Amino acid sequence: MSQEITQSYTQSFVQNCIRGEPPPCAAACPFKLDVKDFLTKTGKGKWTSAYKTYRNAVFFPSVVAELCPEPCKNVCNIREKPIEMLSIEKAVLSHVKKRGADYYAIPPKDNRVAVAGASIAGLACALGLAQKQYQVTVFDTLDGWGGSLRGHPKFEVFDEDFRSQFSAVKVEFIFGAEIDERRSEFETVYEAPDNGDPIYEIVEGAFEAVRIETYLQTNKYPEPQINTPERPADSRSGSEFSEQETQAEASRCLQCDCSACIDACVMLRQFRKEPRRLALEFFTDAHVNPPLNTHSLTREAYSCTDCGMCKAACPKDIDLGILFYEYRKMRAENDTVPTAFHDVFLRRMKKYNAEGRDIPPSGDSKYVFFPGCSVSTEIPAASKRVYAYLREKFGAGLLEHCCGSPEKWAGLDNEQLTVNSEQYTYIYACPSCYETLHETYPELKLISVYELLDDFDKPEIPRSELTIFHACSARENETLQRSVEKLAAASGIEYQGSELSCCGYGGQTQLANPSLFRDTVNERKALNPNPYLVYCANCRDTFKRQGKECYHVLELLFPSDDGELKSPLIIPDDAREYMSDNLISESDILEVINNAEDSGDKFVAPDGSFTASLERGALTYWVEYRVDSGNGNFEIISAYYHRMKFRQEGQR
Amino acid sequence: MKCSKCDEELVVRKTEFDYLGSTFSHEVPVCPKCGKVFISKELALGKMSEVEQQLEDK
Repeated sequence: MSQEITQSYTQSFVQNCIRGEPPPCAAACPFKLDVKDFLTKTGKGKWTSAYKTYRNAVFFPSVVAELCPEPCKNVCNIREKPIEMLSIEKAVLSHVKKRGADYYAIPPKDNRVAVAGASIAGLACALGLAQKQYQVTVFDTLDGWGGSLRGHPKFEVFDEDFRSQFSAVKVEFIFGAEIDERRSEFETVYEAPDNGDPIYEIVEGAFEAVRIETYLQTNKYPEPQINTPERPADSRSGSEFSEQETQAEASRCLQCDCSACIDACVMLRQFRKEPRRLALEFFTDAHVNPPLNTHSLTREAYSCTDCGMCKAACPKDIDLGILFYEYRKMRAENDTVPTAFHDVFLRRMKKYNAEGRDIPPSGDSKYVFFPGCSVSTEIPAASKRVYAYLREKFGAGLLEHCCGSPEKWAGLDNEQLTVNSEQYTYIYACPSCYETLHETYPELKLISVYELLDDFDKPEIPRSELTIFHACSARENETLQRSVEKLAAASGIEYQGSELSCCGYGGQTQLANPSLFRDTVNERKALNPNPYLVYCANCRDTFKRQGKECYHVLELLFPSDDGELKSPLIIPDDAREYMSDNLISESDILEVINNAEDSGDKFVAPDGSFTASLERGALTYWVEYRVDSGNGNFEIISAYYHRMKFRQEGQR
Repeated sequence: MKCSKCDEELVVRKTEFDYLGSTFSHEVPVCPKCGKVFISKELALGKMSEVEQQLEDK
C-alpha cells in the first residue's frame, strides 16, 4: 500500500520550500521592501514606479534613504560586492520627477483616533490611518512635527518629505498642546515613542496603525509586534550615483530566489513548473475521481529519474522525488498506468528472473554473488569471471535475480525475491541493487564486490585520462564510493577526480519522455570531458549508447577474451540508432522474424522485402527485412513499434 | 504490398484501434482474405505516435 497523497502529506513538501519566499535582503529590511521589484524597476530607469514601491514600503523616503542602517547590505548574496542599496535609494529620490503622494479613493470613516506625539512614529501611524480615511488628530507639545529629528542637520529635507506625504490626506495637527483634557474625544490614543531610533520607530508606528484599524473594526487589539526587529550594525555607504550608474548598480541584483532543485534537475527545468505547484497538482490529481480526473501529470510523474539530486541540493532537505514515486504507486494501484512506459523494462526483468541461476554457496561459505541484471547483461563476460573468482576465493554462490528496481520505478510492488538474510551475505555489483535491496530488506547483509577484490591479482591498467562517475544510487553509500576509488588506484588507474550525478537512466524514463532522457544524458556527459570510469552498469550502458566513452571498473579488471557472438542480423547504423533510442533489442527483432518465418504471417513488398509484426506486452513490434538465403542472415531495413492495439477482422 | 500467406493485394479498410481506454477507427491496409492489418512505419511513428502521446498526456 502506498503512502496516501493526503493534504498533510503534500503540505509537508510544500511548507518548507523557500522558493518564492522573500530574498535575504527583503527579509532583513525593517520595512520588508520588495527589493527585487524595486531594483528591477530601478534597473530599467522606471524612476516613478521604483519611487512608489519604495515610498509605499517606507512611508517617508527622504528620512529612510538618509538614516537607514542598510541591514540588507550585510546579507546580500553578492558577498564580495553587495548591492549599494542606500545609494540607489538616494539616487532614485534625486532622479524621480514626480514625488507627490497618492490619493486613496476610500470613503471617509467616522472613527476618531488621536496620536500623542508628532515624532516619526506618530507621523507614520497617523499617515497609515489617514490613508484609510480615519479621522486622525496629532498632538505635540513642540511647535511642529518631527520630534527629536527636528535637531537633525537635514531636517529641512525631512520636513519637505512630511509635507509631501501628508499632502494627499486629511490629518489635524495640534502643536504646542497636550492631549490630556481631550483624550475622551477619541476612540483610541497612540502614545508615540521618540527615542532616537527613527527607522524602527517608523516600522512601529506603521504597525500600530494596522493594530488600531483592527481594533476599530473588531473591538479587539491584536497582539503587539511579536518579534522586535533586530537592529543590525550600520553598513551605510555614501556613493552618489548618476542615472546610468544607478541603473547599472540596480541591475547587478541577482534577483535571488532558491532554485537549487530546479538547477539540479533537467526535468524540473524543462517542465517549468514550480516545485510547490507540482506537489499541489499531485495532491489535486490524486483526489479527483475518474472520469473527471485528467491525469495531466502523467508525463511529469513518469519523467522523474529517482536520482535524489533534488533532495541533495535542497537547503531544506525536501525530497520532491519521493512524491513522484508515491504518485506512480498510486497510479499503479488505480490501474491507470500507461503500461507502455515501463513494459520493455519489466519484460526484460521477468526474462532475466526466469532464466537466472540460483547456485548455493559451497562448503560453509556465507557469500552469494548478486550481479544484478545490468551487470549480467551489459558486461556478461566480466560478470562470469567475477563469479568464477568469488566462487574460487570465497566459495560464493550465485543468485541471478532482479533486485526489483524496474518494478519500483513502475510504481509496482517488488516481485517476491527470495533472499536468505539470516544465513547469507549478498555481494552486489550495482549501486542500484544495493539501494533497492537495502530498502526492501533492511536487515539483509550486503557487501560490494569492490570491497572483496583486495587479493585479486589485478591487471595493471595504465590509464590516466579517466574520471570516476559516481552513480546517483551510490550517493549515500560512502563505503562503496571509497572502495571503487581504492580499487581503481590499486589497479594503476590514475583517475582525474570524480563526479557524482545521475546518468539519466534512473526511473527508467526513456520511453515515457525520450527527449528529456536524451537531454539529461547529454548534460551529464558534458559534466567532464574525460571518459568516465563507472561502477553502475546502467551508467555504462546509458553513456555508451549516447556516444560517451565509458568503462565499467569490472570490464577493465576482468577483460573479456570471448569473441563476439555471431548474430544472424545485419543492421544498418541508422536502424541501430533508432533501436537503441527506442529500446528495441536484437532479440526482439529475432522473435518477430522467427515468428514470421515459422508461420508465414508476413507482408511482402513489390521489391521482395518483408514486413512482419508481433505483439509483445504493451507494444506491437514491426520489422522490415530481407532474407539473405545464401547464408541465412536477415538484413534489417527498419524496426519500430506502436503502443495502440488494433483489432483485426473477427477480433473483439 | 501483399499478404504473403494469402497472396492477396492489401485493401484499405476501416480498422478499430484501442489505447488507454479510448477506441477510434482509421483506414489502414488489410489483407482482404485473412484480415491481417498492416501498419507502415510512417503511420506508426507519425499519426499513431502523436495520438498515443496525446492520450498519455490527457
